[in-house]
Order: sequence, then C-alpha cells, then structure tokens
Amino acid sequence: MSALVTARDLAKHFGGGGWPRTGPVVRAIDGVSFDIPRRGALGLVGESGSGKSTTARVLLRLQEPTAGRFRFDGEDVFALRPAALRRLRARMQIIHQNPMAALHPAMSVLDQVRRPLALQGIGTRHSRTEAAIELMSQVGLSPEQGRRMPHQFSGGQRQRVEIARALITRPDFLVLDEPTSALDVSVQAQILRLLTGLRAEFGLTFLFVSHDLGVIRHMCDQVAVMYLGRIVEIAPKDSFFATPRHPYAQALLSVVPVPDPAQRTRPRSRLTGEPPSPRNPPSGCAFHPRCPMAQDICRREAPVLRPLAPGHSAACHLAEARP
Amino acid sequence: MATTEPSGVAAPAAGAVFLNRFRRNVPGRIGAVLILLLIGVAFAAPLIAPQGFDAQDLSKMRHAPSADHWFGTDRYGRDVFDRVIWGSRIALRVALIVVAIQLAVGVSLGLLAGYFGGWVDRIISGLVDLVWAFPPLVLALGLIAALGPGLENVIIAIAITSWAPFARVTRAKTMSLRQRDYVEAGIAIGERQGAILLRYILPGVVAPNLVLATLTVPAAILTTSALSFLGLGAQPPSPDWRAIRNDGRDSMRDAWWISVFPGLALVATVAAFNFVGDALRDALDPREDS
Repeated sequence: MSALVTARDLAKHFGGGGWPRTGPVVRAIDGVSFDIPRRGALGLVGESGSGKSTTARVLLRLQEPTAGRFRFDGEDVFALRPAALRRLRARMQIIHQNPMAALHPAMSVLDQVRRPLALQGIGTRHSRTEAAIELMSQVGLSPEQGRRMPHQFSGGQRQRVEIARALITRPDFLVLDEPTSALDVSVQAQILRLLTGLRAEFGLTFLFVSHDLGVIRHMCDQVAVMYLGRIVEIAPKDSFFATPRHPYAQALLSVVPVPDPAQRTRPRSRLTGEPPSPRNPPSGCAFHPRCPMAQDICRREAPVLRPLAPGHSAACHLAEARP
Repeated sequence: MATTEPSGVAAPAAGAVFLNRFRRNVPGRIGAVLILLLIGVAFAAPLIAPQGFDAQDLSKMRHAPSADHWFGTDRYGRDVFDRVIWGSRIALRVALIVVAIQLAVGVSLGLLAGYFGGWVDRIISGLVDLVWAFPPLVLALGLIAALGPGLENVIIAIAITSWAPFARVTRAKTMSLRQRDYVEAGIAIGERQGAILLRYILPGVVAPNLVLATLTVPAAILTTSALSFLGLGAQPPSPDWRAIRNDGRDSMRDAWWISVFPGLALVATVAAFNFVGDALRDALDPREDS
C-alpha cells in the first residue's frame, strides 16, 4: 500500500549557536520515521519534551528540519521552494493545541475561515464566503457568528473555527497538535466526535499528537510512542493496546484510567524520575535511568527499532524476552 | 482579500478596559486635555493671534504683561503671547515629524530584526547599539555641524539619533509574537512573509510603540529646544519657544516675562506628553487587573 505520508529519519536539532558554532546541540527529534496510509490515523504519544509537537511542526515546515525526508503523496516536501510549498499547504493543515492563541485576535472569524481560499486563489470572493459559511455551519457555528471576533467565542467554539479554517481548502492531511488538551472534558468529547465525523466525510489522514492514550485509542488506528526525540514503539492500535512491548509504553498504558477497576489487567507501573534532558541524554537507551528492568546492555548500547510482530516495532533490547 | 483589516491587536473588549483604566488616571486626563489644547491652539493660531508672530510695535518695547499684552512684549515690541501661540505650531510639528521618522525607521528595522533573526538581526542590532551608544545631543550637534543650522536639520538630526529604542522595542515584541500560534497558523495556511509581517505582527507592536512615542515626544521637544537655545535650531524671527527664551535671556532681570511664558508653555507641553505616556503605559499593561 502506498502511504500518503512517508517520513524518514526526521531530525531537528537546536542550538550549536554562537560563533564559531560551539554551543550545545539539542536533538529535539532524531531519526523519526513513519508512514501513514491514505485515510489512516497515526497517534503520536509522549511526555512533554518528547518531540511530538516538533515532529508535527517539522513535517509542515513550520520549523525547518535539520535532516530527513518527507514524501507527501509523492512530493518531496522538504525540497519544495516557497511558492510550491504555499500551494501544497492547501492539502496539509494543522489544528493547534490552544484555540485561544491560534486565531488572529483582530480578524473576524469569517475572514479567518475564508482566508486560506483567497490565498490559494480558489473561487470568487462570493463563492469563498459561501463556502466559509457552509463549512462553519458544518462544524456547528451559525453564519451570524461570522462577523464576531475570536475573543467573543468560548474555547470549544474557537476550536471549531480553527477546524473550519483548516478544512476550507479540503486538505488530505490534517495534523492535530493536542487539539483537545486545552478544553473542558465535556467539550473535548464534542470536538473529538466532530473530528471523527469530519475525518470520515472528508476522507482525511490524521497525525494526531497527544499525551492522552485514551484519546489516541479512540481516534487512531496506529500508535507511535516517542521518548526523548525518538520513536520507541510503533504499532497498529489493537496490537499496541493488547501487548505494548516497550517498558515505557507499558508504563504509560498502565496509568490510563480504566472505567471498571476490576478489569484492570496489568499492575500499575509507576514511572519514577523526570524525563532526561535532550541537552544531555543518557548513555545507551535513553529510557534506562527510569526503566524498571534496565540491565547492563541498556546502559551501553542504544537499542534500535526492530519488528516484533506484524507492523509492530519497538526499540528495546529486552523486548523479545518477555511475553 | 478580507475586508476587515486588523486595526490593532487590542480587541474591542480589551479596548474598553483600556479606556476605563486610562480615564481613571488623573494626570493622564490632565495631560490629554493639555495636548488637545495645544493642538487646538496650533490650528487656531491665525484666529487667536491674527497679527502673526513677528508684528513689531517699536513704541512698546519690553512692556510688562498687561490687559493688552497678556505675556508682555519683547525688545522689538512683539507680543510674547502671540509668539507663544504661534510657537505651539513649531513644537507640534517637531513632535510629529520626529515621531513619524522614528516610527518609520525604528519599527521597520525592529520588525526585520525580530522576524528574520540571524545575520539580519545581528546587523540591525549592531546598528542600534551603535546609535544608542552616543548621547543624542552630542550626535545631533555633530550632524548639525555637517548639515548646517536650521529647524529642519535639527528635526532630521534628532530623528536619526533617537530611533534606536523603537527598533529595540519592536524587535523584542516581534520575537515574542512570531512564536504565537496564530502567526504559525498564518504560515500554515500559506500567508506570504510580507503578509505575516504586516497583517499578523505589525498590529501587535502598535501598543508598545504608541507608549514609547508618547514618551519620546518630550525628549524630542526638549532636544530641539536645547539646540534652538544654542542658536542651532529655529532661527530668528521664528517663534520657537526656546528661541524666544534665548532672545529674552539678556533681559531676564528687567523683562522676565519674555523668558518665563514660553518656558511655561514648554514645561506644560513636556509634562502633558509625559503624563499621557505614563497613563498609556499603565492602561496597556496587561498584568494589572482592573
């Protein structure tokens, strides 16, 4: 199957600043690779600082990558010149985490929703307004609200505005950077339901960044776990939630609340310590200082991602040793 | 093209809060009234003082303030009140032109430095440091030595020597704004860099620059005055307030009114702008709750 999104060895390093360039280099992400089939949905989980948002931004070239390749429907995105990149942006969009911050504070929401069409030179002024109003009602906003400014809306409504703005050019690929983590739980459910419906209707491909495995389970069909800038486990959803292979993934999964505690099958394994600083990563496996089963090899050698089951890979020396 | 231009980043609700806060600031209100008065007087000068600023009456030299001549007369028998009234035009013109140049130069350089960073930032910031390192009066004196005396040259000299704070403030604000999600969202929907700068970032740097402009006007007026006092700025018979004072300097003992009234006008103007600047700064400060 040919994937819509093919990311290979993405890297984003910060620093190394000063002159001569001698500052410390921070590897925010390093060697990140994944595929997302058309209409697929990949969930990217990890703690804050794990590089999941950086991965999302680098893909859309909101931050320039240090290295790597990104093929989007056959196009080499990282090689595109500015004009071609702007055209391609009609087909890949992003929803930001904080709807309070992601809308222009001094532009009416209707203007913001129809703006991408004008930038892409799609339709006439009149047809753009029509399209914006139609999409706004589709995401649950009334046309009369179009004249209002973002600050007159609640968080959930603003997230709807953002979704309308992102979908107005009918993109194929939508990056969602923790789209609900700034919202109330009840609003979260509404937005997630809206996104699920829109995904089916528009045939969208998702890259869903979140720290909430419950949300990922609900929204995605593939899961990638990031730790300190690298993917440590990537798997189809069912395989992942049934048998997580990496001890970090197991720890994350064991703290996801279960509606009925009697059904809890795994013991809670609590993570101790802080995630290490990417400025000064540990030797060997980056997770070894917090890993309950770390051994000598973990301190010496960095594990590589290797296949353990169909479509299921993990970067752990000891992964095979356990059921 | 969208119809609504971003008029300013302060949204309507924030605007109401801002007005409320500004209104509660008493010195700010006094300053605002004084500035409006200054503007009114400058526009109405031909009505208030129809005989102009240099009508001489040699029969009435150095007359003390009276009902006919509220501020007295100078050594050529010119009415000091009329001259002070006409001088308001000069003060206002200096303030407006200097601020316009400062804003144009400072804001555009600051936007470029803050947005592009890297070597653009290093060059512009270096220039800012260089200009800032000189005391404005000394640098202005040097420039006037090169350009020759005259009010226009003084205005140019002051503007050239004092745009640096605008560039620095704009650069800092731009750097923080370009990290905002809505700017990133603008890039994500395919805005060009020019549009990002003008439609997304420029509205956000208006407020701090407005405050700074109000606070630099007094400095601009005072520096112009200082240079006029030294005889490098406005030339006789110009009714520039400091030029009048320079004129009245020799007769301070027997004709104090020649120096004192333009001085008071100067103090009132400078104080008014300072009051308004402080009030604006406080009212626009997002940290203070209403």
